[in-house]
Amino acid sequence: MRATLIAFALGAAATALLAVAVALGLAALADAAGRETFTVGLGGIELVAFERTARGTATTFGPALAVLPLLGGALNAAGASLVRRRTGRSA
Amino acid sequence: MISAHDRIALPTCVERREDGVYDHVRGVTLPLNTTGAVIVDASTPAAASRALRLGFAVDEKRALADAIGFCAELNERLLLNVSPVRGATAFTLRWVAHLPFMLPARTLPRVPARRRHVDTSSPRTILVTGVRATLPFALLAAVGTFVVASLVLGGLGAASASTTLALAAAVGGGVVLHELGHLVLLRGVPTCAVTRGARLWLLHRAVDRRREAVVAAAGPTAALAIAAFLLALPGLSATVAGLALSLHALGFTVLTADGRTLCARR
Repeated sequence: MRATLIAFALGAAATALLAVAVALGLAALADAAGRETFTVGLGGIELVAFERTARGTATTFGPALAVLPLLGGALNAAGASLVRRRTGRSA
Repeated sequence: MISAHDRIALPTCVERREDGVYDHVRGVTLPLNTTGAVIVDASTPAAASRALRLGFAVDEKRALADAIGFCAELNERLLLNVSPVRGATAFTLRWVAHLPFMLPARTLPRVPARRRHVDTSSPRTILVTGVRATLPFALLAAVGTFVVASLVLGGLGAASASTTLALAAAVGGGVVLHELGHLVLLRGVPTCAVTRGARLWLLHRAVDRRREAVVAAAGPTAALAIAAFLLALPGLSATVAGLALSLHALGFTVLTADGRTLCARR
């Protein structure tokens, strides 16, 4: 149980870090490309929204940033249990 | 993948002893029989086969096959470095040439591994020898990234020299940073860097499980710390570099060897 929780936490943290970095990268690309608005979502859930206003630019992180780490954590925990089972069998 | 005129040599930290070869990193001795000793003492498989022919009265073809086979076996155990006369280009050409014969057997040609010495006795030696050991691989990764990024971004009409260079530097620098992160926490532990084709890893004396986990986490953490700094900087090049470095977060997942050490321990 402890090993599964660790795998979940690490997977969630890694996915969250990657999602934030991708969102920031996309916002910077949109800014460099001179886009007025730019939205990236995941099945209707917004990940990042970029908007150019009169006073500058605004980047908003959406709820997908909370959903993605949960998915990443679950996948990593499942993968870790699979790896443990395989190594256990070959040991 | 090993040919008759490739140079063969024991890596630093692998010592020839009377009873065999001693690996200072793993702390083990591989015993050698007379034939093995003759091969290890030679400078190339061709020289080894000549010595075998003279010493054991075997025919030329068999002597060379035995010498190459034994060199491949020792290289597989990371106890012998093999250097072709024309460097990495020779291995690349041989890999491509072997591909049509290996693919039907659903396997890929195995590139010989190469061990590079790392001195973990002090932070200064870790920095100097760690960078020296990982730099050839990092440079190859950076050049490869530069070529691929130039082609892809050029094809999309979005090529920018500064962005492509930043991306290549982040990929190459990320490799060095990642390994230095591991090495800093391996201070005092006999360690070497090993490259095999598109893989680079550290081989070190066994440590306790807690330290092993901390060492595994240190690599991705070091790269991510620099990624966070770059992402906070203005400018597209810094963001692209930060984005490339942030991929090291995958080092915390089971997709990588570090992640499996962290997540899949029994």
